[in-house]
Amino acid sequence: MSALGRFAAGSSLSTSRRAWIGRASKAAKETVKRTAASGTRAGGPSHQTSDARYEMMKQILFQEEARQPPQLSDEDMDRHMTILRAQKIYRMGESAKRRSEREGKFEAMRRAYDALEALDERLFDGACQKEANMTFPRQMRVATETPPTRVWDYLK
Amino acid sequence: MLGAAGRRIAELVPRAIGSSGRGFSTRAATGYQARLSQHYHNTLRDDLMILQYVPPSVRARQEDIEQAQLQAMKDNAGGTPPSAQRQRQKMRPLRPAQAESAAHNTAYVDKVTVHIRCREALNNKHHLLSSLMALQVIAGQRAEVVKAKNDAAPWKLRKGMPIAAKVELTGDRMYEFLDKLVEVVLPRMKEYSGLRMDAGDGSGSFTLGFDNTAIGLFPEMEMVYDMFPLVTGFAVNISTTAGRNPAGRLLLSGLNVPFLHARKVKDESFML
Repeated sequence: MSALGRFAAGSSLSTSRRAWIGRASKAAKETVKRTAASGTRAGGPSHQTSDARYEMMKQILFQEEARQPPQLSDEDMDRHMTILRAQKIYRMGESAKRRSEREGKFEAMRRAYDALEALDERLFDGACQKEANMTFPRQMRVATETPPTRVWDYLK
Repeated sequence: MLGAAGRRIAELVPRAIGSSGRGFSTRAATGYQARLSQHYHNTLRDDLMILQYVPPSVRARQEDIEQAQLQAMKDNAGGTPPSAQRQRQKMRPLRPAQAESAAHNTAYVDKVTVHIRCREALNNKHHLLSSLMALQVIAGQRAEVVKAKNDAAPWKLRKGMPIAAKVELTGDRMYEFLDKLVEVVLPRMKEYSGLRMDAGDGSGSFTLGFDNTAIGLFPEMEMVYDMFPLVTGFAVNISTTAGRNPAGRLLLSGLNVPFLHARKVKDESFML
């Protein structure tokens, strides 16, 4: 589905397994229909206590072995660690830049509030009042390189 | 130097005979950061800091008012004193006082827990597999079984019976799950306008409950919906580090969680 973009559904199951799911679910539904048609005892237990699909779930959840991580040579490992370290240094630099910006903004705001408090009580109280139930507007959407043309309107 | 450290770590991992021979790293890219996480750190955090700033003198005044309200509640408690057991039930830990506004202590989303309570697991333990599988499909992480802590005779529940499944998400996976919820699942739900303005437990946790029609709306569930004999609802608990409800709601609205505003009341100041 193109509308979903990066959330486009991709199954991790193989084609043969998906075909099996289709057949097993169809079989299960047929059994349910047959039991309903024949008329189960009122309040009695269902005859389909162990669905075939549960066997497959047990296999997927508990019996499949995790894939082995790739094996790297010494040189590859050196390259890998160098890359990781470089990325960490980059992230630290970005974080430090953002922190210094943020602290600058905070200091400026604090000094402004202190100056106002010293200057005029009434204006200071007015500045300290906040809107009740303040929320960001719905139009403020998370930035993305491919925004949708039609934005979902919850109130319709 | 680095090579030695890398080799020491690599020695702990069993290695195949022969080298990879490739000239590039074969691990997943680690420069990735979830979209909502980037949005929070680049945009939201500064905005929240500015919007929620309260000068120290005003904060002290607010604390006094809160303390006075608590004291008034204690003093005016009418009726007969409660029994010892009831007294113990009533004594909850008080919420911590709000911290002073600072450049570094804005609220953030700490953890998201997705939880499926499976009543059908009481008669047939296999139904719990549906819940475990569903959570793994939705959250992208292995779920764990929750066992009953107490007995409950009306529902034939005994202590230690497996009764629910949950998955706790942190970091990038948490942000990705929230992203899917907010961009795909909530818009597709029928007759849903958003969280109410009294949402929140008072200490920064928000819980959304979903019925069994919602789980099929996740993109991953489209392919494997037929695999589930039992389709149940689920609950999502968003735990934030906000100390009070309004701050938490402001944070969530910044992450595009929809809120339904009642008619606005004029001239209403509030404490964050």
